[in-house]
Amino acid sequence: MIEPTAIDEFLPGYLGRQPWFAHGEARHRARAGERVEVGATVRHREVWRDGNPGLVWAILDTTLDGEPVGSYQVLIGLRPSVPSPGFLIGATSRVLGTLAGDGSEWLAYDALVDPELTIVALAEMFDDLHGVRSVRKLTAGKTSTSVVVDEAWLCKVFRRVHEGPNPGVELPARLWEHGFRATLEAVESWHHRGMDLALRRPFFPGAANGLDLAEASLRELFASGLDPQLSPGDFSAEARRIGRMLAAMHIASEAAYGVVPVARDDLLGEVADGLVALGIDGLGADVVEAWTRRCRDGLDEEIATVRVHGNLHLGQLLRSDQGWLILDFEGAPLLPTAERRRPRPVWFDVSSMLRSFDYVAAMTRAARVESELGDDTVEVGAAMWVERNTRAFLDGYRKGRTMSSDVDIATAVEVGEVARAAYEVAYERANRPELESIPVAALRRLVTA
Amino acid sequence: MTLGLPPANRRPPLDATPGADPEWYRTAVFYELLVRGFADLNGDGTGELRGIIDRLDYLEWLGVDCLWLLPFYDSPLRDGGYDIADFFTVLPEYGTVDDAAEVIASCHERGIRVIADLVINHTSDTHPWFVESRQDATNPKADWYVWGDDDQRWADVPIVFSDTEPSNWTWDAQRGQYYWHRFFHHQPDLNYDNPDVAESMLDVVRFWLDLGLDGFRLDAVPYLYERDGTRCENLPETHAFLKRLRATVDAEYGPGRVLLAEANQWPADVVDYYGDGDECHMCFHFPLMPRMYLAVRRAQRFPITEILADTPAIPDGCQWGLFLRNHDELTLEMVTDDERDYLYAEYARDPRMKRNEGIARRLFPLLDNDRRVVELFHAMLFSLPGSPVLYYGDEIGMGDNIYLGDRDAVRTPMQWSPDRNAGFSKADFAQLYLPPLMDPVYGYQANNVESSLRDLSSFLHWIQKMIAIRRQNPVFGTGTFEVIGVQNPAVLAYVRSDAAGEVVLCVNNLSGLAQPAELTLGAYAGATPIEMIGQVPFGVISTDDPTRGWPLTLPPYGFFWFTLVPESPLQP
Repeated sequence: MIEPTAIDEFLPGYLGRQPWFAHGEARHRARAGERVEVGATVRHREVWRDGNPGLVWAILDTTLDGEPVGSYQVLIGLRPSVPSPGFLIGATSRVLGTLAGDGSEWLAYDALVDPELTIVALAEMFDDLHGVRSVRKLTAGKTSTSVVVDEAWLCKVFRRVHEGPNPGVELPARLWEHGFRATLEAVESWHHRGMDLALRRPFFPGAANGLDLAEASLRELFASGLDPQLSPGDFSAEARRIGRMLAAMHIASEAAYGVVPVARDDLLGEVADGLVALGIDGLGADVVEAWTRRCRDGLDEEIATVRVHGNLHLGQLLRSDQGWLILDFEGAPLLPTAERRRPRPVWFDVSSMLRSFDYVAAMTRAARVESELGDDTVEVGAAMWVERNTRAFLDGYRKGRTMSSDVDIATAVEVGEVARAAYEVAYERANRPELESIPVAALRRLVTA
Repeated sequence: MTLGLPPANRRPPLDATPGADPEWYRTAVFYELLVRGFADLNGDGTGELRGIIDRLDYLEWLGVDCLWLLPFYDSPLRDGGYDIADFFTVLPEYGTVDDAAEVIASCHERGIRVIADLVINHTSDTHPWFVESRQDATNPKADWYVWGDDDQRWADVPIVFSDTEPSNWTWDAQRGQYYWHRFFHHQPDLNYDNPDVAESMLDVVRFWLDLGLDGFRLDAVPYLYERDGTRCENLPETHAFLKRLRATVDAEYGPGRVLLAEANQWPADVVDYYGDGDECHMCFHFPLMPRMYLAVRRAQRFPITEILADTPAIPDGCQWGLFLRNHDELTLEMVTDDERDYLYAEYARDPRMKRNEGIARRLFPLLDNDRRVVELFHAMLFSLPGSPVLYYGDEIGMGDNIYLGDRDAVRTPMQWSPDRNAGFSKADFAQLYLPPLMDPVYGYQANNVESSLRDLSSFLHWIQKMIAIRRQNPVFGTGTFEVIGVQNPAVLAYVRSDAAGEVVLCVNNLSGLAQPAELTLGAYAGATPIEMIGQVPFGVISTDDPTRGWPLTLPPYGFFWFTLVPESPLQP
């Protein structure tokens, strides 16, 4: 048997290769040839399975270039390197390294790529997950890894972990309690050593991700060369339904958590400061100040805030046979837990969806290769698509909240869009620098309009 | 008529033993046929029952299992015969009761069954029962219909023919009262609270079953009774009468005669018409049909999967009736307002195409004459859970004439050949009940049975082959239905499987763009999918990489049917 501590020397290198560690910053910089210093201290360690294969669970406190970057959960599998395990083919970044033991060479690797050990790990986390027949790992997320169990359950194992309750567990239960049905009544959490470390919910096999649906709609539009109303694949009915669903979520959230008023100027100041701090060319303090002045006139002096979703975009939504569902309530991954739980204006969720329409249109447009359609045609089509679905979504939201059509929400939505786009810039700088231009273009358009 | 039919396998005559094949309707392909528009042999401009006998070679070659004859009873024909003036007589233009018996016998000889429309909710206002009932309030038939002193009772009940009828009540000056009608004002509703009415209707059923008919398509069944404070639809009393009707048929004729209900309602309400397997054998699935059109226009599967998920299970021995188009408008009552607006915008660009709450167009023009889409629709019609009902003329891609009144747009003569009057009739053109289509796209000169038979790549040959494949695989009729997970929202995939171990995988691309799909088929690991039309084996379903599904590439509007053949045991 391998001594569990023998893997420790490999942990910093392993973390540095993972997309979920420090928002992928270490991996990104290392690929760019920069020197990266990762530190990892084992806070908790448990041996879940001794022998061949072996399974070790651990919580690590980590640093990047000497700065703390939070705690991470790792599951490490151990097997002899001969015969070479088939599931590791093409997964070299998931291997920690080779160890000597029992007279042969052993491999240490991410246990969630190993179906046999995944089953062992999930049974350890969720009492009744015994007799599992199949596990299927979905593409790894930014903060967690999801595994489909017997096509009936989805288990999400958090990589980045926090002290205290996870909003992804707490929020849907409260909303359900207050009448919101586009989510799950209960998400089961594995709470261990004071932290929510994994959750389990039903899996919807026939469902599709909102981003996939929207991208498909845009591709149909670009291929037909028509305006969105006449093109196949119209998305507006879905956008309207999403609006209604979000309205229902906010109604439930207001009932569950109550409404907290904040001063308009405080809110605007916070958004403006965040924006200026990004240091985007042409969006200096004076320009932002002018924008703030303009917005002030369109807002009441006090603005209602409430517990919001906080990271709403098409990729978080699932279209199922029961309609649209929001299953993921973990909030914005860049923010600490306390910040994610802070009340915000409901418009921040609304605007966040509008930003998502803009994003998907920009990304689908950018993903096009050569075509007989000129760039202008595609750009105009994409803009019309965003406008049509924005209108339908806002219409659905207003109807869901029985809000009269003469209530002016334009400024509130605009402030929300600026706040969201500023977050997006920070996120893309850390994760996908090649996409930074999308939110930057939106900010320029919004702030200097 | 000689059409130059290719040779076909003759089918054995039906086994005349009662109950020989009691659940035949679960695997059958139905063919809905307008007697008036099918074949006119006597040259009076109107088709007749004997015309069907004349064209049985064609129907047998096509491979359909059961004809559904639209009403052929004596009628003033103010509603296509759904206004019956005498339940025991055939409309003289169509022939006689003996002719009807001969149609049934001739079909049975070729292994084809026959069901007929029966309107039990109402009669024509020329029916002797109504003529007598309207005379005064005391005659023997005085309460065979639903009479009232004012027209405000049941004021909230919707009006079906909203284009032409201002109210469900009409004033009768002769009797000095209003009478109730859920359809046209010349179709008074029978009063089923009167036991004599119910008993008389059972006699009508016995009369036709005695003649050998294999069952009925029951028109407008939800509306038999009226009660205060309700929408006068789906009432318990209505179900009680239908159960009595079923019990009578079973007791006196044994199993194998079928009752097919027309109940244009939501699935949760429609399933009540199956009772506990003791009411109707079949019901049409009305809400599914418009959603197929919606799904293809939206290039995503959810309109279809959503309504199927909302469809409750049905009792053993029961079956859904599925259709793409029929003799009525494409009805949009079972969709939301938003969806209706969208479907109008997409499929009824000319306002003349709208009728009541629907669209009066035939299948091919609805689908822009796009053969790929029509084939995709039929692939779904033939593989979703239920028995398909084809509408005459759709198998050769007939069009419509939206300038004709009411729903005549889709009831023009069958196009048999490029000869005069489409080979339908030798009458003078002016004498025809409706003009045949003569437009340059769908007109009979090019678009007819004869030329479709000569053209080996025609839609007619394609659908004949698909019907044959369906007949060889009863799993399409009786199998369970399971949606298969696939990330691409434009792809609809499902598995049908039955107790005999047959497993069929159906994959449909609802988009006009080529699409990739990775199907979650872990439960079928090791099986080899064999494409059913060409018997081509595809790659084995592997679970070597559990993050990836079984990969498949679909052409625009493409579909595949695969038999899943389990991993073969090791060879010795």
